[in-house]
Amino acid sequence: MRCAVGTIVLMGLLATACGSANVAQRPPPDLPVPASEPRERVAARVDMVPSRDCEEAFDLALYANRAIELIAWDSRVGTCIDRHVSIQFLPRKISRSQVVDAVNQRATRVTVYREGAFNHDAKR
Amino acid sequence: MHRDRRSSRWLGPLLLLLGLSPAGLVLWHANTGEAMASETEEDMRRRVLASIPNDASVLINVTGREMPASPDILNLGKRGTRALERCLSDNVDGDIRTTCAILLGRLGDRRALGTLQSALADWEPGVRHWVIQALQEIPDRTSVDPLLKLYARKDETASNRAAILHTLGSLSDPKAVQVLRRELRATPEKNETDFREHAFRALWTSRHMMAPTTLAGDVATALRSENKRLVLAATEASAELRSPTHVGALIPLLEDPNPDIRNKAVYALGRIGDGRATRALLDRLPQVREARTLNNIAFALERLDRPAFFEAISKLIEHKQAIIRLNAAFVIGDVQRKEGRVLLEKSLNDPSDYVKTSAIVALGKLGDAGAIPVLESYVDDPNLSIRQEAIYAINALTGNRRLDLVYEKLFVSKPYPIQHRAALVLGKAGDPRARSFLLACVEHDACPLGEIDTFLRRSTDPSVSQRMLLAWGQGRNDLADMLADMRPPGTLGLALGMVDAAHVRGDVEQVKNAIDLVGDLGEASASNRVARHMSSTDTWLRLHTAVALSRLGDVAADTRILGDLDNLAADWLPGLVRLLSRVREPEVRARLLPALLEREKGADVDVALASAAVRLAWDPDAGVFRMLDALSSSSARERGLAERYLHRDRSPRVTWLLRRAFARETRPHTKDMLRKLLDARPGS
Repeated sequence: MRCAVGTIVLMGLLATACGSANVAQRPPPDLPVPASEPRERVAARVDMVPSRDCEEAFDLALYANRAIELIAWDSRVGTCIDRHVSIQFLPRKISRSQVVDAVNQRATRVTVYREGAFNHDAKR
Repeated sequence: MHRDRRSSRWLGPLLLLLGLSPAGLVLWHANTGEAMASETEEDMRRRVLASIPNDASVLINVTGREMPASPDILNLGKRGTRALERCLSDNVDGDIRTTCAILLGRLGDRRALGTLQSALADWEPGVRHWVIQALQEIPDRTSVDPLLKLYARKDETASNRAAILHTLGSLSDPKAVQVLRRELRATPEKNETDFREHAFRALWTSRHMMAPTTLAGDVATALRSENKRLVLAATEASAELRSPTHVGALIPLLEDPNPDIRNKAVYALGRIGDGRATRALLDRLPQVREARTLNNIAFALERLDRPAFFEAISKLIEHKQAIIRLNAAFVIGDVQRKEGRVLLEKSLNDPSDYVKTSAIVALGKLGDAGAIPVLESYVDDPNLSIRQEAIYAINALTGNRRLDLVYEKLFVSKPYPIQHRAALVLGKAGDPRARSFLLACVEHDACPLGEIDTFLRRSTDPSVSQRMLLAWGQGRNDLADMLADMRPPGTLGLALGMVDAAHVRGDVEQVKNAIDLVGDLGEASASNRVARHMSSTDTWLRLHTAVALSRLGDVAADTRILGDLDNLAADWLPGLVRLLSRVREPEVRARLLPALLEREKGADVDVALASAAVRLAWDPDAGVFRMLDALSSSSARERGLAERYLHRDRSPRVTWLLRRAFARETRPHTKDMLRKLLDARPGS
């Protein structure tokens, strides 16, 4: 009996511990980045594999890295070819070349604009 | 004796007078009543309306003749709460009590909770119904027990019991969830009303209170029910929940006689994305007899097993019946995969011009420029539909680099509908050759403004803005925003003139529109021309004026805006959010922002989320986090409001921020809601 009680208590503790571990492992939701954190941008022209959700799929893949702060697109929603994208990132956590690599992985053709050379809002 | 005779001579008339006195009194009352009745019904209503904020008892004795109109009472905002509460408690007219219950729900003032809960004992089922609805609008856990007590009464009407379940679902209370789960599993007797669909929908509102496995189990139970309405509700829920545990229950529904259930089951299977559904969908595909199902199956299969989809669709595109070939081509275009090109190019040889046209449209959607050479051979086709679609497809595939083709072959000297579509395409691409046509089209209200306003705004030709100003002056209120950007000379003068002229003829909508434009133009000297409308009894006119004055630098107007924000009926708050979203001036935003931030944290969830929605419009990057908190709230009301405000804000930036939030979200219910919001936006 004592053993059974001990087992139940132990299982309870384990459950609690596992629960805590799960909570601890769960990454936090999206959180604001302090204004003081430095930011940079990569701007590029990209072709993606045509599909209905190419733009969203690109975003979801890149946003998995929390050092990517915002991906902004031109207004040609629904097209996957010749799109202009601007990616704001946190240079203390990811390098410019890592951002470009991530873009290359998600696009079939990429032309990266030199820094400050492209404003997609003005272009489109 | 003489005296006696004299007395008796007066006795008769005296007795008569005494006998008639009650009638006399009634007559006197009637006369005074007549004096009151000389007051028109409108006067009476106005008098009652004016007393509502200061006299809580004013609605106790009103009848339908004196009862002010509902919008007029709502216009008083929460200043009407006390009088409406007394009305609900003490007016003997059931119709009036119904009106008061409805208005209390729309006001959303929590002070009325006690009165509403007591009114669950009202004699009239109709009044109780609206009281139950009002308690849904002001969700509070203290309502659970009174609602359950009423639900337990066997003599309560079926519609009220159903309404109680929905309200219980909105209360975010564990006890209510337990009851709803019990009702979902209850099997009604032969002559009993079946409340399971209501219990399920209410439970769905409370789903954030449930463990994901429990919720998935309840949905699975509902999917297997013999109650078709419940099955339909569960099918919709399973598409949102996307649990693979539902695949087994959904597959048999592909054969359901109800087309809604069939279609939603297909859609849900596609959303869930579990490979076990592939075979069932492939088997279903050749039996399809309607375009909607064909589309849904195609999209589902395309997600589940793309090679299997293309194998199946390649058979359909060669089907004996042209209507199926036509729809198959359409579907290939919509899935936008390059594998479709070969199939569509084959369809260009179809004997049916309809199928051929559908294939050309589909090729234009694929985004594969390799299709251009074959499309070129159709630009001079004798069939107008074919050559038209071929030209648009080529232009789309080249990224608007073939506008000359659109201009020369479609825009120039063609029938009006052909020219109209071509002009819109040219306009959206910024081609000035369509300007004159589009201007006239806007003036005749024959073109969707949203499709061409960017083109018109960017035009450097002064005649464009001048003609838009003229059209606005002739009553085209929808052009005000464009004019605020274009600002042709004379706009301010015309806007101020319009404020006065529309006011004189009682056109409040136009007064508000003109005041908005005055606010947009930012000329501080115009303040005194609109300031008199701050004393209007019309809340919306006062608010439009206050927002315009605030934008023109009148700090006192800020207080009025914030006062109205706190007082406004809860279901009017989205209108105020739209109005405040117009404010672009950084200094005005900076003045109002601290008060909005304070309200975002307040106990009044309607005001809190309205404040957050304004911030979302002004600064999406910062504002989105309060909305994400609300989406994860323990209150169904707060979650629902956040969902509505996020849905209404259609800006691309909010879409990008929602994608980021979705990618990083780990809370299951919040993630589901973000997915649902993204699915409803373009590009998802």
